[in-house]
Amino acid sequence: MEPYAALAIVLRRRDIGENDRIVTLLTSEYGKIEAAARGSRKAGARAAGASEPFTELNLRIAHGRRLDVVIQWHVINAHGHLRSNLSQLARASYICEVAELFTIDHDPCPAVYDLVSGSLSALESGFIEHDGAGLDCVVRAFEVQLVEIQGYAISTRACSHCGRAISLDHLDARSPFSPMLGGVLCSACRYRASDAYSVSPDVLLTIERLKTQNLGNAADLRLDATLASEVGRCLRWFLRHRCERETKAATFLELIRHDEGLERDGDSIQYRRGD
Amino acid sequence: MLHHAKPLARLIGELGKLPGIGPKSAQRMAYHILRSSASDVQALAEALLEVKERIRFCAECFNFSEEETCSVCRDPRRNAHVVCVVAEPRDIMAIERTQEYRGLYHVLQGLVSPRDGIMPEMLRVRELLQRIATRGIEEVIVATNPTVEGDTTALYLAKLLKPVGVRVTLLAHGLPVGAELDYADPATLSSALQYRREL
Repeated sequence: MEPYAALAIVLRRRDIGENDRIVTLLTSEYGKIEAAARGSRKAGARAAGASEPFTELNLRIAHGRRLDVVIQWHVINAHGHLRSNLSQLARASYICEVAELFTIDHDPCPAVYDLVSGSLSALESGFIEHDGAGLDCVVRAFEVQLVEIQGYAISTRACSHCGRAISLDHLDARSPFSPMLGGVLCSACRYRASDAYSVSPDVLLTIERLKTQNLGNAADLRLDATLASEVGRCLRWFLRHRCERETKAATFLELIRHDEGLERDGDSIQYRRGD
Repeated sequence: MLHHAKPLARLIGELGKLPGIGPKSAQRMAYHILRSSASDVQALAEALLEVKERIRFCAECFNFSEEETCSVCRDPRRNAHVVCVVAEPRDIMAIERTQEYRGLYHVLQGLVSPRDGIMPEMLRVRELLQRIATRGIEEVIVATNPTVEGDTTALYLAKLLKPVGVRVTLLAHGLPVGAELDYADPATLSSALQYRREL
């Protein structure tokens, strides 16, 4: 079979044998795929830098018996600045891990490719002028938009149990939110989910806003520290339910966020049945 | 179907556990051992047991050592105010081959890898901080691989060590000797431009 061309982002790579790597690629046309990067661990090999995570590439890939093999590498964007700042590096690693978890092998999804590419560029452009809180807004927008694209949209305007419409415009009290059921609950269904806890109306409005937020200026969003922490906690638990596990990169990200003086996103959550 | 005799199958199985050794290579090595003389096989077996019994981590730098501290840490001609931080003991050998560096080393025993869940507390970072605090170290050279994990480790160490008042430097990244510009990838070329030097 003829080799095929693909636009790809390296999500992950692992060493194999003495000189080779296997790269996990998010492609625009073929979804998530794995391919061999032969000789990519040799000093000076063109594929050495190109097979590093976050790199956006134009590839030619040959069909292999067990594993496809990358035969041509053309770097579109190495996102090199991401690797010179720990705040950006930690968040880029998290984005790549979440993208890997939320995509299926060989299931084309150009929207996810564009989202990951846009998020990495937004993190990189936040190199000089943005602090950890600004970069966190890029991550939050990425999370909300990714789950939306993949069919797990967070319900903010309808009860996630009975479907009854909820008007955010007139909401002034805290509302029950269930990561398990997928969003906000109406007052009648507040006891239907064992994991429900209360969130402020501002959290729901912020999630609504993030659904359509342009990634390019997401880092400019200035969220109040308490609100940012509450939104972060909400999304982290929502993602944990969908992935059925905690992401590994989230643990390191929490360590970096702590050093930046930001509140922790996940561990302090207290389930309060319907309060 | 013909199977290997039990002892041979066991040897192939054990050799197959070594890094980079697949079933075919393990079988080839096992056949080679079978064809070797008894004294050669005895020497190999003794070497394997001896290395496991006598080699341990240096109490100072965590390099492999036969004694409490390694030969580098014991050498009085070494500059004890400079420490080069590496990920693995084999990286020390690579730096020593240059014959350029006369300071001490510190082996982290790995790299911070957020994607694999390897956190700084799993490495010898606390011991590095202790050495800096008690041994009058003035400069730490971070010699990690120019990979995402290497950069993460280097940036994390810089963040941790700068407030302590120690000079933290990173090995230059750039074009390898003998490389051609046309074939260099943009990340390497951009790094080479960033760390260019005065002529």
